Amino acid sequence: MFAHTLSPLATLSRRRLQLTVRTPRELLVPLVTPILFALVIAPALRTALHTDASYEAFVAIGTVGLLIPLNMMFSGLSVIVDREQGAQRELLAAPVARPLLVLGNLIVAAAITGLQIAVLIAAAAARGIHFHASTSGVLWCLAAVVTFGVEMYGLAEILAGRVPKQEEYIARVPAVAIVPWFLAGSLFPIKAMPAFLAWLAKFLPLTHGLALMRYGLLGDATGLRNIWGMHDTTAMAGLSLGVTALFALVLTAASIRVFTRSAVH
Amino acid sequence: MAIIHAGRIVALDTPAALRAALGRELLELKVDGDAAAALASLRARGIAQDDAFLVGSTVTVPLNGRTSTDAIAVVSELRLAAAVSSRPPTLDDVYLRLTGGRLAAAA
Repeated sequence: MFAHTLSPLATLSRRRLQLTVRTPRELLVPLVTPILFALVIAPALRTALHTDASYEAFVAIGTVGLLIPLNMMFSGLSVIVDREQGAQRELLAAPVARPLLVLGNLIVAAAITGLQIAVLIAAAAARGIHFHASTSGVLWCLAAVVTFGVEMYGLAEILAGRVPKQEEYIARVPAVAIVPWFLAGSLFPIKAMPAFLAWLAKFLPLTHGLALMRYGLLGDATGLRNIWGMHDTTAMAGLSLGVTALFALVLTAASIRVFTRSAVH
Repeated sequence: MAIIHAGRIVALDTPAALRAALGRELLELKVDGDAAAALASLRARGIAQDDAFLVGSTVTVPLNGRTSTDAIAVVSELRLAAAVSSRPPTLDDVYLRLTGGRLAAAA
């Protein structure tokens, strides 16, 4: 039973990967803005604002919070291309459970995003930005990246299922991928915002994801404290991971439902 | 041949009979704009019935005895499609027709 699921899933993922690597710009374009932020804008802000080196590390992690939504949302475009000009009709008629069509795409999007994050972190480290990561810290960060990434892909898949054309999809990407980034403590702690926005930011999964990543890679629990106001950092990290995992589960389930209901109608 | 959808047998017949349920010919339209609206227009004009379905921007319309010439004339008149073709139904069409999410939910 397990093999019957894994085998088509591997085939679908391989197919998506082959399509993706055929267009290298899909791999490179989402990297441009975060690398620009991490390597150019963060050092410039540090100089202009007379902050210390930790601010560069703060922003470097913040840029991961931009890379994940951008990359996952761009992955949603390929869903529309597949539906309008690709092989979706043939895939729907194939003896494959339809949720696997979504999961196959998700695996590739997650793998590529992981690769891009590794490039971004390596570029930041090469630029002289210091990370203080323990093994458990890396695991916290990975868990945050995976759950937040899965959640964003769910959102991308839902949007792709609801929007008929690529142009309309692209028009919605800034609202979904970029606006929350400004509110989620990417460039400054959420407490620096007006009280209402700081309160609102606590409901954004990206706020929890970024706080977890900073806790994991920088050993900085300030973001978690700004959200939960507790002293036990492990408990706060667990709670934030619970939030991102819950969003990931709900949005993945919703994306599968939207796809299976709207693919043929 | 049995077609199973969501754990239920939704069709059980010979391949020829299953294809025949969609008629001898169907029309396939590649729509440039809103495919759902195009399908609704075809239904309003009596060209498409409940067994028509769409995947992305492709509308598949079983003709159920109508001639493709008449149907294409209506499609041209309504300026619905960027490309139109007619062909005999395949088992893929049968499967998609029977396992479409909203169609299956309504059945």
